[in-house]
Amino acid sequence: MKRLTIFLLLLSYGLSAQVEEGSITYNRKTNWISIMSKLPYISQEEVDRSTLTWGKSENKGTDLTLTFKDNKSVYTYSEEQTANEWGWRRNEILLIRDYSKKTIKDLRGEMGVTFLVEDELKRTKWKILNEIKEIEGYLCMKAETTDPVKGQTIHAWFTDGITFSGGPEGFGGLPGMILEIDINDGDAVITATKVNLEAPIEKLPIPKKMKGKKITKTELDTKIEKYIAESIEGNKNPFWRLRF
Amino acid sequence: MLAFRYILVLCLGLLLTQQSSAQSPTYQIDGVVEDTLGNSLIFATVLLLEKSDSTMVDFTRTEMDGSFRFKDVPRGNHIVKATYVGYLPLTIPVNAGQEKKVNLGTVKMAEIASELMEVVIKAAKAPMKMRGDTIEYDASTFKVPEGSTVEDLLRRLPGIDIESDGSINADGKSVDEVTVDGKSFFGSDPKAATKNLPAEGISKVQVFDSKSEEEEITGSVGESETKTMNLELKEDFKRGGFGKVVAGIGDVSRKELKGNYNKFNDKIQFSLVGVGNNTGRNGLSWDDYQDFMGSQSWNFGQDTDYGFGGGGGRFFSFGGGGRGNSIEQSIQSLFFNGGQRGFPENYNTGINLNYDHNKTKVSSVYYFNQSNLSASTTTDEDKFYQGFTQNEASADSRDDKSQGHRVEFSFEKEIDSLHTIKVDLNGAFINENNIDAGNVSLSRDENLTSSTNFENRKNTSGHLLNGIAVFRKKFKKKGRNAGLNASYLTTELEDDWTQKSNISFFDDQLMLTDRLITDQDNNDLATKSVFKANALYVEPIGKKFFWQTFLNHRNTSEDGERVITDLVDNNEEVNDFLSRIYDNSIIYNRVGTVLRYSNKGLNISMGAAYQNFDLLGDFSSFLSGQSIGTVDKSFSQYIPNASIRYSINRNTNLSASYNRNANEPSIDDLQPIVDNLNPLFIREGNPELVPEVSDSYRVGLRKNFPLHDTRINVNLTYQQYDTQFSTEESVDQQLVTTYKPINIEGGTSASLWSNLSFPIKKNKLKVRANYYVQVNDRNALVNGELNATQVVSHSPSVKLDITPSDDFTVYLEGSYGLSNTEYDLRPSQNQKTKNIGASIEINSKLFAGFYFNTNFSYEKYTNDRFDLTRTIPIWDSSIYKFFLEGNKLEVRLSLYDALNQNQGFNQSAFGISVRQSTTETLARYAMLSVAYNIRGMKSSVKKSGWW
Repeated sequence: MKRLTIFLLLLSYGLSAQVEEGSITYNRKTNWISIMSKLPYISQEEVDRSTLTWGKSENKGTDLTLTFKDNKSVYTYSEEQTANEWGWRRNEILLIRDYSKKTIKDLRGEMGVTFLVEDELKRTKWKILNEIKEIEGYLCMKAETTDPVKGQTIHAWFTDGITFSGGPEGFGGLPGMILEIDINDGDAVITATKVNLEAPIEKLPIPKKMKGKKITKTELDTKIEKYIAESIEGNKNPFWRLRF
Repeated sequence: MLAFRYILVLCLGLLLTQQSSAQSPTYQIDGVVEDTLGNSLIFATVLLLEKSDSTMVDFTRTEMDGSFRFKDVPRGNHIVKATYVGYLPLTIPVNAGQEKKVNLGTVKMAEIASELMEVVIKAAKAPMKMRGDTIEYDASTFKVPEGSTVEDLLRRLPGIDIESDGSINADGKSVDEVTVDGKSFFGSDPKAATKNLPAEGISKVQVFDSKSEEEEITGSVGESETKTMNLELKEDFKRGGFGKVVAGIGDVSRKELKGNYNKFNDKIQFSLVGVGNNTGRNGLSWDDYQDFMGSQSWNFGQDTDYGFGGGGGRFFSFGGGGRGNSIEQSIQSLFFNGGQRGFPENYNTGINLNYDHNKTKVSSVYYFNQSNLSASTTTDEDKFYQGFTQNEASADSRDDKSQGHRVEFSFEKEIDSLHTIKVDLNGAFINENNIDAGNVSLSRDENLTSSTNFENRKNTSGHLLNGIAVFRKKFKKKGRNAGLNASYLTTELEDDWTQKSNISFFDDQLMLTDRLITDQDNNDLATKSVFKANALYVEPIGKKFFWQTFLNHRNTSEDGERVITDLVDNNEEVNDFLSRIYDNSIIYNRVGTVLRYSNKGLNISMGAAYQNFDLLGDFSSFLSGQSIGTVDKSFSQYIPNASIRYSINRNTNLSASYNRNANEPSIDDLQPIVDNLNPLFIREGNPELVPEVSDSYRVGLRKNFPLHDTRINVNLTYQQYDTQFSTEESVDQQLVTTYKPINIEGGTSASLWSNLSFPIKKNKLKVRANYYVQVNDRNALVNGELNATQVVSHSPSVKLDITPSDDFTVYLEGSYGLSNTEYDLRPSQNQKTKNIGASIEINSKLFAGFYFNTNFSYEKYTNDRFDLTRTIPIWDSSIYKFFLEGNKLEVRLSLYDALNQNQGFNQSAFGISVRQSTTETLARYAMLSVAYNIRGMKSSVKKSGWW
């Protein structure tokens, strides 16, 4: 019983403070073999070959940070690049969510084009599941939604220990911060690795200029849907050039 | 049970508080959240869910007095769920009926700590399950550091206590037995399992009441005092395996057999490959290579000869091993030894075992290859000298056999996150037999000057040992890292050969003037050793600059003896002029430094190195042991290096680089010795040689348009020699050529390589166009005069992929090659050679499950100056059908070179010479083959490719 008590006390940390600003670092890991194995034109032998050759490759993942303040959040890469590696361009990803004005402003490199998506924030339809787990000391509940455009089932683990209603990868709208997103049971997992609610946020890291091809969310979704269909027809993995 | 009662009470309360009112589209829900002691819970989360599928409708937080309210709730069946950390979540069904307002009243939440374990599990759905009297924990949801034992895992499980002596308590009762997958583990001590088993192997932990033997028999259940714990092991999650075998038999005694098999899990990879055929089609593909080598197929950042490149850059090296003579070939290069002319026979077999677990990688490969080749070649070569043309016409037939055994072993361990060591050991044994016999006629302006018959037999055997140790260190400071490695390679080769030739010299009246008969035995024993040591250190300066320093040391020493025995009237006599003992060494040292800037896709690197070569050679007579020549030279150069690479965006890359190259002359070329082993080609050493020095420049652009499936790629290179290795050739009246390596000023080479690919109709019709241009200027001394040769070649080609469906595809290809050679000394010999190629491949599904493939290619070679035209049409076809479920079996009937036109033809121009050769090559044959793939075969006739 002693163990149980400590376990639950641990989970209850951070409850009392009604945090409205801070930053959370997430690590995003993509399992390319798992994504590839679901493509309709791939044979079991090709999946096995990739697992054999690349399955043991180290995957450090990518660090991204969500900074939030005043009911507004920004999600982008944690740092420009890791030290002592050739600098290379990454797909742009900068997602701004304004939960008061109910707007989104995203800069995203998709299909080789940098898009500036400006639209109203649409409500995500979440199902609340009856499971809990602990992430970075926070007790999290499980919620589920689907992305019909990319054909994904998304599980979010959110905590009411942080009341801000946002999360990574542009997800939000749950009664608390999302600390983990799991797309298609492990194809891509974005997990919080550092929660910092202590340091006050002076200003959200929103760049002065956001340059990209202007588009609405619906228009972008239509483009993505077409691109996925075409790529699969041409036996190419669409997700090399598309954020999974 | 307590929680159920709570919920029941709450539900009843709920029903009672419903008020009746007229139907309206929305309603309101109110309530207050309190703990069991009646204190209001402030800021508790309250969710409103659809009853049918738990879709969240709304959520809110309780106020200071614990109250909450949902307004404007659309009518329907709902669930209100209250959560508060440390308390049991509570679920309350709400059915509004006709009510306008529903007041849930006071909702009491129970503190978890005071509740029974099973209640918590049931209500909170903690990562554990109840099944009968068994509590089951899902081990994957409890994170433990790598290398943890089961005990460490158990410490994290709620409800389980580990005493200081390691004994286990579950829910207050002691655990007296631990089983693994239901079986007892090493006797009775439960701690034996928990202290020794690694946590990562466990998928589930189950705890249940122990049953006494009496209970087991009678089935009666009493209140147990002790508990049993069962540890369920993980299935190896990445287990897989595949394999295939192809066997074929054809006419003109053609046969092929090929198979590979592999099996792997997350730790071990095992593979076998075997191929044997006499078709000249090696049959091994990149896929087969990957299947054989597994996780060791591709090595990144493993180049141990540190230099100007980025220390942390992703440099790709294709397997291990070096180039050089055949014994130094790597297994990887043997894998792709197809496409031979003549009549080849190849056998390859290999076995590979990789182990990769817990930051330790071990790989061991054994590979055997045997290749036999018999080929008859006729060659015609013209050389243009001032005042005359020399023609060399030869016909020879070769019979080569080689065998090799190779073993590679590699061990790599990441000691901790900062230190890695790697040790590689390679061994090889080879044995080669070559027979080459034929005749050569030399003519001067179409007058025969000499005719030679020859027969050479050679037998080579030898072995190689190579060891390398690498140490890599990262420092705590991000970006600072170091590398250190040392390697030692030794080879020993013994050549035994006999050389018989009979040369007849003629005057311009075709009268025999002289005859030279050579009958020699030659025994060469050569040992070589190479010691290398390299060091690298990278220091970050700020976040964007890196300063890299490297040191390279290489000591190559070669020693051996060459004993040539002349057979004169059945007497063996050592030829003291050609026999010698030698002992050479080349010591190379380089120190360099480079500053790199790297930020947002822009990488700039500038550096320089200072390098020094010491060449020492000693040649002495085999008979007397007296020195006949020495080399003692030292060369030093500064070599600057600069490069820039800019990714303007994800789809556009620009790169440019400059480097200065310096290559040292070989000791063989430096030795002041005349070699007349072949009496028609006399070779002299040149002790005056200095290194070849050149500057090279490269510019490249790459751009993709993923949305339009379009790519463009342009590369330009330019190389200018300060001094280039060349030859000084002199030819006497009898066309005996004497040549000597020299340095010559000037010489350039430039090339443009570009390609463009785009769809005309997406996924159906794609165009890929390539254009390659090369301009080479090369100088040589010919009979005392400087000759400058310029070769300009253009090779455009276009491919069309027509892929209307998975059942029908057509691939078209057209290529054109124009080579324009201009001679400074004799412009009248300037010439144009043209190669035109065209091919069409059709793949189609037919009727009744049959598939058809046909490939027709046409090549035409022309040389206007020689009035030469050669056309080679090749037509291959096959028809095949799949059998068994999942297309596991394929039966194929193929007809290769239906027109019986195949010949190995080649034409080239280099320096002052133009050459054509034809090798008699395997032509028409038919083959029936059967393939079995345990994973099944793809029926699509689309080729897979990246672009």
